[in-house]
Amino acid sequence: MRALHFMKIDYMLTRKQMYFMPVFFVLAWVMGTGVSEGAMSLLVVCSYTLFVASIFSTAPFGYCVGKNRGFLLLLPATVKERVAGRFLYGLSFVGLLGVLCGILWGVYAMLGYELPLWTVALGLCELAVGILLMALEFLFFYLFGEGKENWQHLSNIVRIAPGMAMFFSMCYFVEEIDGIQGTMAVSMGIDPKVFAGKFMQVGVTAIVAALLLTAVAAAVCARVIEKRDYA
Amino acid sequence: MELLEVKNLSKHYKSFDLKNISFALPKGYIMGYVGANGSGKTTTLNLITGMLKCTEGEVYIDGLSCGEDMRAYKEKIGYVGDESYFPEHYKIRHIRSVLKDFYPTFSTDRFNGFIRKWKLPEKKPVKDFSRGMKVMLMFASVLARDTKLLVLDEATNGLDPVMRTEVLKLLQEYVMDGEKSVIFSTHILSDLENIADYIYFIHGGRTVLYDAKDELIENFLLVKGESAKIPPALKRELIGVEENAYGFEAVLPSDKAELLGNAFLFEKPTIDQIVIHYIKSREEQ
Repeated sequence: MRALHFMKIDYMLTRKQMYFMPVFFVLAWVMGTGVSEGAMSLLVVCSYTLFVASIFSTAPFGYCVGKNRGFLLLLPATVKERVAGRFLYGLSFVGLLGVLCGILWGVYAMLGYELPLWTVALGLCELAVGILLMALEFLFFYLFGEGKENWQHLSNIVRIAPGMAMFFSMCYFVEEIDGIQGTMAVSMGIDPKVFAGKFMQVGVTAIVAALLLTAVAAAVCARVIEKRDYA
Repeated sequence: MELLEVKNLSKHYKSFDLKNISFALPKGYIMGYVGANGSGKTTTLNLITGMLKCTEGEVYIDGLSCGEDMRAYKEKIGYVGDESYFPEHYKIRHIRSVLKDFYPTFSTDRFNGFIRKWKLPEKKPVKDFSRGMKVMLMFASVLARDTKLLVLDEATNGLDPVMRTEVLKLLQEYVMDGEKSVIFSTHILSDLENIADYIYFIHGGRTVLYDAKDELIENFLLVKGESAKIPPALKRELIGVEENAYGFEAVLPSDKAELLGNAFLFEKPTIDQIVIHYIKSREEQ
């Protein structure tokens, strides 16, 4: 329960950035439709949205430096609860933007766009990568920079670079992917529909694996922070 | 009955050691924790609040240590620092909401009462508060719930005299029921003169003096006179001799008063004077 309260603290800390999320989402849609169309544009929208999520999910670390950390440290809770709260914030933030992408997917389906199953699976894989990026960034922030005030440049690189790589890769390969998946199905001698089903399994497995790795990262962070001063 | 027990508390840093700090503070009393900058006051208070981990030693609040039950331990503490620890973008409603979530004894009515009484601005973020407002907000946040121990780390520094008087009055009201205590570090030793029952004086991470305030004042004399007239036997016993154009000033343990003879003036010192002369003597060593 206290972990949820810590999550709430982080949402209150970063409340101003939440107002900009719809703007980023519209921007993502504009970029997606600019690069491609239909299901393929949705993949670009997802990658941009998750790029944004990977940047903004780490925002609470920036608010809790120096004297401001005292507030969290004095609250009657364990280190595990505090770290779990921060990870829940990150996970729910990425998840929330993932849900927005899902809704857009639904809107496209209702408008009659053809949305092959394998693109949905690829969207799930993108979400898994988004979750994983968030977990790795949190791991980095907790292990190397929690509470530090003078490492702005490095922290910006850590926040931006991985998500940016994911986004630009998707923009670059978006037109190739369709052909690649068809070629792969043919070369493996599998019916494209069956292949898409297998791909869907990979997508779900990727999400589960990302969640498990996030839990491991949270446990590692809690263990390390417990040994520190100002824990 | 002791409310706060500190036993052989030590903290090791590369450039500083806090060594074997031990004291006990009974329920219903106020302790002044004094020392020069860098003497280890904040380190000790941070060890008591559980923000720092001690290298050795133990702290008990009402018989409970941090290791036994961290939540219950922290619920017993109210901390007011020299700077606001609230996130700067928070407004009062955010702070109220967090305190309500985490402290079962938090009273919204009591909190709102303090906010109204001290005219703290509800709509502004904490970063736009004056220093006095920030201190009073910290006090509102700790006095609106049931705590056992107030830990104040130079909380009155930089406050105007009216506000400082208000804070000192609050502290006296806080301990009035005989169930709670206050540990209070400050540079403004006249504040301690007014409200402290015990004084703990620390220098270079080591205990220098620890006693009831009245005992401490009784145990020393402030001596003044001509430097040239100080006999060697007295010189050895004087603490922190400060020479000026008119002679010298130092403190002397009261039990050595017979060494004074008729050549010197002496009077009861203030806490301020005892501390200043002790710091001087330690620095000379």
